Amino acid sequence: MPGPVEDKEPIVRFFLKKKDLDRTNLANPVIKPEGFLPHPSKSNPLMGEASVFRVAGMPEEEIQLQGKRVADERERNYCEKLAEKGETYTASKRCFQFRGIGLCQALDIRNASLDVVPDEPPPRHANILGWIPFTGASRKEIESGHLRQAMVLVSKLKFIPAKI
Amino acid sequence: MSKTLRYLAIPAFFSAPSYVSASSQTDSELADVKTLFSETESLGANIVREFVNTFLDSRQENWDGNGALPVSEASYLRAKGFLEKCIEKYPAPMFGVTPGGSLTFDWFVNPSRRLIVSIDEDAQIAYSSMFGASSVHHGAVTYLDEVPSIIWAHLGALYPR
Repeated sequence: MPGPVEDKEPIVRFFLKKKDLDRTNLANPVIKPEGFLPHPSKSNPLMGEASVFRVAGMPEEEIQLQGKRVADERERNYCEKLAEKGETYTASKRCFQFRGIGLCQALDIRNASLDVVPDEPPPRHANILGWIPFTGASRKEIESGHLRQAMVLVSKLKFIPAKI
Repeated sequence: MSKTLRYLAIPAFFSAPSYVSASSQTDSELADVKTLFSETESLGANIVREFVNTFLDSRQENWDGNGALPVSEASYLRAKGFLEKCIEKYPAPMFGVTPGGSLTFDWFVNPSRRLIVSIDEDAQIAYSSMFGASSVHHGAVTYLDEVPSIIWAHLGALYPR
């Protein structure tokens, strides 16, 4: 998807881990901000990034399929890493499963003192950037700042359950 | 009904120094833990089950498939002590984990009113709270034995009596 991310563009984050959501209320699960916390960027480990997708113009079925593809790929990569370490993968204990979608607008991300920028491939992939850097303060001070950013962002998300 | 965690029998493997590499042994021990949990019925037991499961699911490196750090046994024990103190006065939180290997407690009222505390082996704990869109706070404070006053203050604001 060419070009910069516009403020009104819909952006999704796919939830792949059981612990990303609290499902005490199945009809309206709580999204946990921890599921949005950044990982060190591959290009600059002092900066954080969180993976999202741009979904403007995509029908919901296609977004759901994309969520499943992302989960399958994450599971495959996880298995490969286990195999590299000589550990056994148990197919019945799947770790990554498409569980739902967090939907917002790019503006919601920017209002949380963050930014969203294209990062293809894969097509439509983007990263949430602008996280407090992994340097310049104590580890816990940095983490508290990330929790704050994620908490503000998550307060704007709409949850859509996985349907496939 | 008491919500303390005191009756939790710490399974023997919690003291094993290198359980990560002993997968078959770990599987057997996990089965024991599940049996233990299935025999408990109280609200406190549910809290314990969820908390321990959160730890067990995150004690290996790369638990998120994205290079996350594992939660250590020391972090678990430290977080457990903190939780015991908090749930004597306030509702049980939701449990989570950060990519940095910290356990988190999330006291959630609604998406704009919540408090998250993150604990690991570090002397400091991280917190972030939100009381509406215009009142968001965060910081790191030292936690040794006593729950820091700022955490009590935020819990008190979240659950006024």
